Amino acid sequence: MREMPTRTRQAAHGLRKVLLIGSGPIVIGQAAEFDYSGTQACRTLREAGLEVVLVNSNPATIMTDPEVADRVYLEPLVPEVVADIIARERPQGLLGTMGGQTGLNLTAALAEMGVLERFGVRVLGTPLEAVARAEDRALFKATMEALGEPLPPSVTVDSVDQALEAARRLGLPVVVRPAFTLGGSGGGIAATLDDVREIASRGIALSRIGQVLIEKSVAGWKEIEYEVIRDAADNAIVVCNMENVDPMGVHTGDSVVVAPSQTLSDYEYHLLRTAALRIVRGLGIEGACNVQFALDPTGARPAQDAAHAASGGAGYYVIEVNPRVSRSSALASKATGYPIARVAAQIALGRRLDEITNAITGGTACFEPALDYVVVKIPRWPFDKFPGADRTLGTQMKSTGEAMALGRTFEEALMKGIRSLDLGAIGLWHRMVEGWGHEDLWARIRRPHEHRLFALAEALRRGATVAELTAATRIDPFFVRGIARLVAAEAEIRSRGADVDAATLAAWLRLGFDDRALAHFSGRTARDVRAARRALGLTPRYKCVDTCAGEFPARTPYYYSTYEDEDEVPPAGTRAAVILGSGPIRIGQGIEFDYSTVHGIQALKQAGWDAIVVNNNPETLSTDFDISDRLYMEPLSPDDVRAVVEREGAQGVLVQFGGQTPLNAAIPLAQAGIRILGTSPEALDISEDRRKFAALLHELNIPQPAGWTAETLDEVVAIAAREGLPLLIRPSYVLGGRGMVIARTMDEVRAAARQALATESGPVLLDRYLEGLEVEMDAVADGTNLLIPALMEQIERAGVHSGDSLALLPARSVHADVARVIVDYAARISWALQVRGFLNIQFVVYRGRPYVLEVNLRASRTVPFVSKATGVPLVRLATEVMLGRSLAEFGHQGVTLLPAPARWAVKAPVFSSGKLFGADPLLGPEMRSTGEVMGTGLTPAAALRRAFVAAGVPVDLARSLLLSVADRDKHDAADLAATAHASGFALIATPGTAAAIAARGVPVQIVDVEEATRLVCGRDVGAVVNTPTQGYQAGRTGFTIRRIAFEFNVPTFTSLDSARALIEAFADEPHRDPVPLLR
Amino acid sequence: MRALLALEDGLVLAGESIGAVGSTGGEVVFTTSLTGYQEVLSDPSYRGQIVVMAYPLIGNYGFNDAWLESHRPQAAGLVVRWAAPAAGGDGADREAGGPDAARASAGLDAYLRASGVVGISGIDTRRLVRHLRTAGTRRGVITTDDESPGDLVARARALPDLGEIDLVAQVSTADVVRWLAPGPRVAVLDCGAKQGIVQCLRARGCDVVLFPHDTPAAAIRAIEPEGLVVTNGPGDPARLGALAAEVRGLWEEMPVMGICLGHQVLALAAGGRTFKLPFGHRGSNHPVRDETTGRVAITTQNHGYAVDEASLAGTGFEVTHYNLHDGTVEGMRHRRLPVFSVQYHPEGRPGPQDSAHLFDRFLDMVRDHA
Ligand SMILES: Nc1ncnc2c1ncn2[C@@H]1O[C@H](COP(=O)(O)OP(=O)(O)O)[C@@H](O)[C@H]1O
Ligand SMILES: Nc1ncnc2c1ncn2[C@@H]1O[C@H](COP(=O)(O)OP(=O)(O)O)[C@@H](O)[C@H]1O
Ligand SMILES: [Mg+2]
Ligand SMILES: [Mg+2]
Repeated sequence: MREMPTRTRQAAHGLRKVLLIGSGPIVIGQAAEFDYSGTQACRTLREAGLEVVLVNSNPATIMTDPEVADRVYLEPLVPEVVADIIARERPQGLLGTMGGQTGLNLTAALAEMGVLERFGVRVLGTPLEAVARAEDRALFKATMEALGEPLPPSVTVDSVDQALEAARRLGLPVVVRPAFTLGGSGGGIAATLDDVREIASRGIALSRIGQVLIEKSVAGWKEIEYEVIRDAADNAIVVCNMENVDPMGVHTGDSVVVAPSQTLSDYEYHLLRTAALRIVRGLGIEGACNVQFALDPTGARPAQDAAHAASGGAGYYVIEVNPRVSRSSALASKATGYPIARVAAQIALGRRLDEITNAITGGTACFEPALDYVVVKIPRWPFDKFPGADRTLGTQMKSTGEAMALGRTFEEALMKGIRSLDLGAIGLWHRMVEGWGHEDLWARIRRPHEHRLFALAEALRRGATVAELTAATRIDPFFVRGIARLVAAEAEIRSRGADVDAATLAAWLRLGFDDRALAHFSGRTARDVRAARRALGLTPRYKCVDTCAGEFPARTPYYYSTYEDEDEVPPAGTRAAVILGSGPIRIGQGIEFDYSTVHGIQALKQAGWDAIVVNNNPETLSTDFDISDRLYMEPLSPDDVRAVVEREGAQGVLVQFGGQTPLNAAIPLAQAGIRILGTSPEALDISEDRRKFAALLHELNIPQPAGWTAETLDEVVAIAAREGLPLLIRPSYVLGGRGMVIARTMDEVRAAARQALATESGPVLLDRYLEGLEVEMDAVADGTNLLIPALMEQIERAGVHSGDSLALLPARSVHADVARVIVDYAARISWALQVRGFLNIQFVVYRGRPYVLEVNLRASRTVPFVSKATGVPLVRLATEVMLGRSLAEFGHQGVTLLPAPARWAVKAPVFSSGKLFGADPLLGPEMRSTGEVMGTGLTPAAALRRAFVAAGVPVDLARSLLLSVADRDKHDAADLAATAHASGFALIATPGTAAAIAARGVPVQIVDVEEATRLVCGRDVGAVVNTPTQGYQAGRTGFTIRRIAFEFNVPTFTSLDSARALIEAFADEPHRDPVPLLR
Repeated sequence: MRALLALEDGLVLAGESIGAVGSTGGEVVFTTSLTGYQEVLSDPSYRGQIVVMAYPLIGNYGFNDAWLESHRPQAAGLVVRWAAPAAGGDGADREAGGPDAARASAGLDAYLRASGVVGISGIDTRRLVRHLRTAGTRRGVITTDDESPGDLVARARALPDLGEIDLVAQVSTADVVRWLAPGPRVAVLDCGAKQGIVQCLRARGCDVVLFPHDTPAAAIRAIEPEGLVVTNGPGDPARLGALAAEVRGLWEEMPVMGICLGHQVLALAAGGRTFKLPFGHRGSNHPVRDETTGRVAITTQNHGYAVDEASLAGTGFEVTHYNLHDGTVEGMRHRRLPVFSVQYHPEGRPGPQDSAHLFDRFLDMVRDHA
């Protein structure tokens, strides 16, 4: 059943140019999955001979590469700007369903503004009316009732009293859902009337239209999702159904999810499948969509009639429909091998499902994939970054990323999934469980919690029964029994040790225990276990993901490991290298690293190598089966990677793209005799090891902030007394600056030291805190030559994590001779370490002198930003160098810092703290942003303005600025206020700050904290400037204002530097010329 | 206990015994259905066949008589990667309050044993599926006896070809069964009917009368049916010449609907031919296009033979449905008479309900005919 070009031409009639909208910065609930689907869509549209114009403000995406679309606009995703782009480009079609909620909302806004009509732009794919029917609660309700599909009883209210009344009527618990917010922001399950009062008032305030829905709670029912595709000819298929292990009440994004459903009878599976198709037809979806159901765990019964069904008598409820590709559709695509976004894009062009080819089998795309393996998805949460945040899970999504694993049993997939999370757990065991008392343990079980999986296992270890856990969690016994089997196996391994007969060992391996886990539980070394295993001929076999359970020959090399008979991997090419991805997205290791991984893959292929990818993040492009030559959906632990390398007989491994995770695997892999391509493992080790690195810099006589280590509180205090303040204090083991605190007073020193000593065994690290200008570079070196595309400067002074600060490229305040010194330091470091590949260095320029803060011998977070701002293909060059070529071959002889590019570029961080209840959005040495946007302009101010707008700062800041700063900052704040006033900002301030401002003769309105918060809630202020009195401490006035501001999405600046930039940006007149990225 | 699976072509796989102790033999086929293991086991069309479940986990959600497609499991044997073990009365099902609480705890092994089915688990079923896909359907045996692989393969080779056995006689009803109802009287010629077919008719108010496969046309006429359904069933349709002749005599008189084997019988009755597919169609995800509407339906399939399109030329029948995977005939209708048939299962069970409307179409014909 091949495509029929003739029909296609008719379908895409009059279409030559299409505008595709991306999803913007990564925030919780809207992540890399939209780069994946958007890029797939771009490729599909271009294959259909169309010209594609793309707009997205997120530079860390593949879709914003000049090669992906014909014209790329790295511009703010706000209606005004997109309207300008439409006016400039005049596309005939617009595809908004690939850009998440952002894409849908923008499309709707453009239609409302009449822009689409004015310029004759057709909305491709699911029509706007259908989107509205799915998104607008009232319309949705009406549509479902017309179809006889049961919704949980609910009442829409716009006051707290009405909410309480409704709750009484429906009976507690109830779910409170604010209308029109992303990812369930501000919603929650209310068990008591007090909860109702609290959540409803927050929700009403958060909702764009001051409305919340009070809905009967079915927490504890099974939560089931169906991924459906429908074409304009009304053919509809279900690509995949997925079952949430955590029942209703935990957001699907925060649930452990399995595919296909494991505990549904055929009757239940098809009851919901039929309903899903009816719903999708009723709504009029044309493309991909996601239907969520709640299923009564006591079993579904046939509905006698619509009324009976509507009463819930059918045994299920419809929860929601997402009329677009989503995180779930990305997961479903990777779980089945069925490329949903590609197919949806073709449907948008008017093709019928039976005219589209299944890229994997070469057969028709109009069928339903059959799986012969189990998929497990496990979320990863950012709580380690937000000490104050509430770690329990609910109806509002909190995770930043997820790992996916495939296995031939639930247990195997679960164990591989946990390994992929990279949490330092050993199977279902983690050292933290040892610290849990009975209450801690059961608290994590009774209320859904970040660590519930580990708690369940620990409870079983401590003698709890499956029945008890089922009762406490409403998790289906099937899953609890799987966990129980794993815990039982642990005990067996403990008692029998690891050298057992082949059958026993095979049984354990099939449960998903790897060498490390077997070693841990049997008290032997992983090396012994491995030797014993191989002696018995037990090595992993790799099976293919083929969409059809082996029924047809598959074309696509997409593999997962298991311990069975047959291995399906054909012999590899002669020159093959393994490239490691970055696993689940987490703060500090985000989509930027997938950008580098994908470019690494492409460079590898261009260089004539087979690119073999190992990664486990289902959201990303690097796990799209047709990006690499071979894809292994596997954990990134050294053992798992080693197995792949050995199976493929690959020449070596590339570890510089995926961030810290692959880097950590480098040393063990090297010790296992596997070749690391590029910079040597020894050099990597030096750059990662504080002592060795300090020694190196000393030897090269390159300055670095003075540092000390202390074992006890007294030592810390002694050092602080001797060396003076301020100091930067952190525990010895640091990932992404975790646990770093700036201590300015002795009290803060003690507090920080206590915390550091508590978090990690091992010493406390102290650094002289140099409050200077932070400068960063991303360069490529080959041991001789060094190419530095540009220097970036952080707008905020050092002390704000480079990942969280505004970055300006090129650096404007770095004096020429300081720059010369910086380049010289970089060159000497690259020679000393014989760097072959990426070189990222962070400096702090203090009193005119650069100091090295840290060196990362890997692609950094800013590689995509720098590549796009300067047009230098950093990743391609780095990859070529890793493969042994010299920079000179690409015309980069010697040590070069390229001249400044034509336009200024600004990278602005975007935070999701609003979603993490109780988290302090304070800027500090601890990275907390989840995403970033880029703005460019002919002046720094213009670039800043673009970036601010893209980051969600309202275009017209005609409203006022609310200031409330720490005493230490009052003087500077007054200066700032003066400039702000001069630039036409109205000023409001809390008493202390106001006094300082008034003293400067600047008019300011004085308000107390209550008044201030009221203004914020009412969105009566354009932005908040608030600097903390001391390190984070909940409950303090500063914290309260910040917190409220974040929850109500009012731009908040916790550093005067950023605030200064804001005023600079909005001082002069806006320019309104969207500019395409140069190709 | 250890068990072995041996195919006639020499492939021998070792696993764990599940279900009854002993040996079984039959044609080894695979299904890709993700759910509905109990419906599959009890589908009479699997008579004489050892079923390989491509989906690895079987027994997860328990067992329930409501999911039986006939009074007992029919498959000659079952091959799985993982069999849900007995919960050992951990009581969790009761806590969860599932309807199949007690049964879920029993586990696949116990269920098969209770119904006398010999099975094997711990098999690399994907390998087996890929083998059957390329080698084609094979005869095979499962046994718990410890016999040499060589002897087992010999036993597999010694098995009769399914075409030589009168399987329909084994599964068809012994005597006439009637479900009185006020609706139209529909005769169902039982070649091994799934409960689902009868229930789809009863759910539409039909007065259903189930006849043994060897009922002469006259006996069927005698109850003055308003329509006739020829059902699914096991084995080679070519054996059913006599049955086909009887049907031919009836379709001039009343609307006729053929399902699966029934569809093939109609083709034979019309003078068409059937042929054996390399490894059959078995699963819940087969796309079928209705050429009269251009619409595609996802269908449940379970057949090893298909109707030869060319052979329908000049029979008065025209092809209405094709399989999007291999282009084989999935449905036909008579140009003049209210007679149509589909190769797939509109009743689903297991599988989609997308085609349930075919029963309505049949009943419309019945009403128009009256
Ligand atoms: N009536 C309800 N009772 C219990 N939990 C619910 C109910 N409705 C939704 N939820 C939970 O809240 C989560 C988010 O709700 P959903 O409608 O999917 O919003 P979102 O747009 O954030 O996905 C769901 O995944 C589900 O776990
Ligand atoms: N000695 C120091 N003086 C001033 N700021 C520092 C110092 N050390 C670190 N920082 C700040 O802390 C941030 C994170 O520190 P860094 O060592 O880069 O950790 P990470 O590994 O998370 O990048 C830096 O971006 C910088 O702003
Ligand atoms: Mg949802
Ligand atoms: Mg850093």
